[in-house]
Amino acid sequence: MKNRLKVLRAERDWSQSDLADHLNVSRQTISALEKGKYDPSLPLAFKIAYLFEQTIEEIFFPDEDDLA
Amino acid sequence: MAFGISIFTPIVLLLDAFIIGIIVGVLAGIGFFIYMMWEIRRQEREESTKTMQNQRAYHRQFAIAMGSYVAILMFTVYLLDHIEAQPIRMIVAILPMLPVLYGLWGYMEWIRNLDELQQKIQLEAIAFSMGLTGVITFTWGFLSGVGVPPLHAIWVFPMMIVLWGIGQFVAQRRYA
Repeated sequence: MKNRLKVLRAERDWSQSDLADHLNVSRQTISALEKGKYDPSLPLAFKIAYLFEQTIEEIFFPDEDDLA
Repeated sequence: MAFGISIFTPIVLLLDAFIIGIIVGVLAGIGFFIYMMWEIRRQEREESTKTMQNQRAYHRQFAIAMGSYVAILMFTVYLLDHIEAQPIRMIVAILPMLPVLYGLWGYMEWIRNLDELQQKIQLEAIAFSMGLTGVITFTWGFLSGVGVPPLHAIWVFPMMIVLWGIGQFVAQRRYA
């Protein structure tokens, strides 16, 4: 899965640990999310969407093999 | 002669292997502790608040557990030299496990307070450690059947800890 987390974070001029604090997770999790190495749970995805005032679909995009 | 001894006694005492051993051990312990504190502070500077609080609580509980473990262990060794009655000896012998149970409680709290990715990493590390410990102890068990000296149960836990550490290293890299 791909996502726009890094861009959204940069727009707000937040560090990874700033975003981690807003979502109450570790910096490691933000780093893994941004690199696409970890897909968030649905509750965390909703939390991210709520924080950036967008829908989940506006932030996260499935890869083609996610849908196959 | 007596004069000579009074001058050289402190040097002789200092050179005593036992005392040197204790001094080196204590210094190495202090050095390691300072390094750990420095490393923990360094990591905390870039960590999120949730992780930092969770780590701090865990480190505090674990330090208390290990400190009391060492103290109780030394006390236990002293007591076992002076107690003869068998049931009491058994109770005294397992006294150091009380602070270990406290440490286990701290560990469980730590696991529960990790975020979802960290818990996934721990699951992979613990599965690796548990599985490989099983493989190693069973292999050793079969080998004991053909003459290899049996593995003492006290080594199983350190083995799990080492494998858990390796498992964490491998699992962390998957998501880094």
